[in-house]
Amino acid sequence: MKNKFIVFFLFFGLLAFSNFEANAQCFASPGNPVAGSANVGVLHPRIFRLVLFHKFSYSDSYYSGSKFNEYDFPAAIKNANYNYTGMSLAYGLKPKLSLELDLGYFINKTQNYRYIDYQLKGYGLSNIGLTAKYNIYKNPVKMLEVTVGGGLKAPFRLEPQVVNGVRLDVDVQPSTGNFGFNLQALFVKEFENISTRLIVLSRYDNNFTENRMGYKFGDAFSNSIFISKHLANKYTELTKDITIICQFRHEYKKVNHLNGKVVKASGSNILYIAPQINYNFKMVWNFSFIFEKPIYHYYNETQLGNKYSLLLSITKDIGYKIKM
Amino acid sequence: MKSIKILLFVLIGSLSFAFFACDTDEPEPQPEPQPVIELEFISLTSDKEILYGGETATITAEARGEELVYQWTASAGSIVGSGKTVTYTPAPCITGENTITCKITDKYKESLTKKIIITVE
Repeated sequence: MKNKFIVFFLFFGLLAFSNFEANAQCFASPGNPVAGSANVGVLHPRIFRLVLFHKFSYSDSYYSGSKFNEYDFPAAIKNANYNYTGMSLAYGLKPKLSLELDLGYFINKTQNYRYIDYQLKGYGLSNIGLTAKYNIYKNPVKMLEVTVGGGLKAPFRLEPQVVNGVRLDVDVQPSTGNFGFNLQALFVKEFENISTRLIVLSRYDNNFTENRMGYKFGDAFSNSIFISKHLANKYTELTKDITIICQFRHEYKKVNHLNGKVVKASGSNILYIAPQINYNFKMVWNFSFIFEKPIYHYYNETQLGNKYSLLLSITKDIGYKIKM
Repeated sequence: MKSIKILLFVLIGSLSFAFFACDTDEPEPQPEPQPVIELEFISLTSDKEILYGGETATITAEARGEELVYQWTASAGSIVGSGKTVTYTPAPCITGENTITCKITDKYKESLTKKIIITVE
């Protein structure tokens, strides 16, 4: 039973998918997941973890501050959405050190106008990120763990995407075009007697260069709290491989800059709720489904805010065998 | 006698080949060379110079040349459409002077560029 619990712990990494979209463009909608996932914790040495995921995000309402804004103008966007497929590959380098490589591809990043019969659509490779994580404290008796990490990200393309002779707006460009870094810290506390885990994840993302459109996305701060409950020995045999998680995440994004000037309608304060369900198949594969919705938002000036996101992921650890 | 027959056969065959291989057609008249239309970027105009929140502007590029290709960029905001006429749709946050650039390239890879400034209030 304990080993089984450990397996769930190992797989928990994929549950902390970051919604760090370097969005908060004027139309705050699609944005770019910085580097896909935010796997939590470090891996055992010589263990590979592969995470494949797909995210769909949808936006269709404008907000001024925290209030709905009709924004009924000729240039209004009816809705915006994106489909993003990503991959994260992590490797346990040392007992306390893991490396992670994240990358992704926008199948589409689309804006539909309300009064103009036209669709802006970008697609292509997004950014790539490399992150190192180090476990600075681990107390197996108290089941406490603290991990810190830091990484770099780079765009897959520097030149903005041009479609039909028109350079796409930054809102629908597949790559931010910015180089940047991130810092993160993770606190994990397990309560084995009730098969529950509490995780706090803090993350800071910085873009330190302008892209070739003169655009620089603002810094982003995020704090997430996860409460997970493993349904082992509960209800029926069917639920024994299922974990349910509730995530609350606060994201604060600073304003963006265009050619050195502040983009007034950028930057936001958003609180998300993201219920998740995990299914573990034969201790080898892990499937997750996440639904995410803002429950509070504040946008500077007027922006197109995110309505909801869906995320599906598959995780597999390679090189790890556990005796049950 | 037999060798003469063979010689004649070869001779006639060679003459026939030479006859049919010879191009007896009159040389086709060459088409008159068309005058090259030099690329000329006549104008880049907008139906509005100042836009108020959420408005759009129609921007037209007038040019002469052959097989023209239009490339558009906006310093901020979106360009909707393609070709010689497009619609500029600035986002609500993009206030101030925004530059729309049109680059026209012809079949000879010559190109000319014009810019227009649209103020978004």
